[in-house]
Amino acid sequence: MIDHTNIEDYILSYIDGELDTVQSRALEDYLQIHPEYKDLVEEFSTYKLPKIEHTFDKKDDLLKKKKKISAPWKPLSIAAAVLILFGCAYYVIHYESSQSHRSREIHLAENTPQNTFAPDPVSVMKRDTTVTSKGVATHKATTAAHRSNQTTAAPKIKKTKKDPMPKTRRILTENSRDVTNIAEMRFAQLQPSSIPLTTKDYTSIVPRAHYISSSEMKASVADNQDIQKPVMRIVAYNFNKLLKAYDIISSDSSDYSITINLNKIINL
Amino acid sequence: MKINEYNLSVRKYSDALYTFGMSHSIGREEAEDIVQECFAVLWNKRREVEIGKAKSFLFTIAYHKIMDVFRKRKRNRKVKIEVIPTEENWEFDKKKWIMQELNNIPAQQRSAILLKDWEGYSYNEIAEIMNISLEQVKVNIHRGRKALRQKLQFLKS
Repeated sequence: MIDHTNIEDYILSYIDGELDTVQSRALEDYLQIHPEYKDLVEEFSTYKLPKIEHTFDKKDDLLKKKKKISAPWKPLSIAAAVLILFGCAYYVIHYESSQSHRSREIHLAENTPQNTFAPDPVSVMKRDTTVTSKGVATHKATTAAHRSNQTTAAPKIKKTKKDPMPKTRRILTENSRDVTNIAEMRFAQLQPSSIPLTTKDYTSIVPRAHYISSSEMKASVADNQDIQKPVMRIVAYNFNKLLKAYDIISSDSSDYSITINLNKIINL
Repeated sequence: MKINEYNLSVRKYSDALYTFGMSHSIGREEAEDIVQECFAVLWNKRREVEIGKAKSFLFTIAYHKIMDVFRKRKRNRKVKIEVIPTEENWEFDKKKWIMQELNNIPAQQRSAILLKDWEGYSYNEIAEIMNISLEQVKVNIHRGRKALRQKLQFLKS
């Protein structure tokens, strides 16, 4: 209820827009009845604060810049790129070296002169197939086929300058045919018909250039000595071991006796 | 609140906050400090404050900071120099006199009137900012306006 005690408050609330429609209408009705308070409304309205604006100059100090988010994938992608590059480089180098190695082998196989002291391979083959077991015969056949494939279907690849092979291995590779021929010849001489040899026996007796690991062989080859003797020696040694295994010679034989035995075989 | 929303608040409300501080005649440097402190608090609580409530949040902090300043000032109060208006320059300087007299009314009444007249807050919003009841807001504003009217009438007469 508006009366003279609270009219000022009503007017102030009215000026501030805090009266609802019912209250506003009640005030307006009251002012119609009491027009002396109309001046009060105008007066209070004039005392509303005039708008003053100050400008804050340090806005830039308050503004925040967006942090550049360091992408977590960035270092990972760099690492991946580096790994790929290394991988590619490794593949290229490895591929080239393997290619050069292969081409060298092919090249050498083509240019190796025929073994002068080796018996005719055909005759050896014939003799071997008659003497040795089935397994040995098939092994020899596959070896021969592989060898012929190498010589006929070998593509001509340029020889690289660098030679990554060690000297011993290179000499053995160069003389691989000689080594095999010598070994086969000696094997044919030593092979007793009474012993049924298997493919495994054959491979253990006949040394091939790529599998020779005897230090004696390596030493002989390294000194550019004749490879015939060490090859025969290895064949004889392996054969002797085989004889021992088949109880043809005593398993209690000392190294000395084996050596004597070996010398006898070598000088056959 | 995101960074761009915070920056928008700075652009939008920093002037108003600064003016609010200056209107309490607390001095330029203190007003600047208050604005900076207000935005520092807003930045620290940006995850809790929504953009729609940023303005009232800032004014709430500003109001309490200003009150802190007044509390400190009470200990070593300075003598105020008042310019008395004359009849000739009354209309011309009315704005100036109103602002001068505004500084002579209690800080709580002044803050309530400033928030009402300048920022257009309702009584309810002012109650929230000042952390007082609606009735107290009403009383403060009405008392402040009446006091202002009395002082200005006295000066005019």
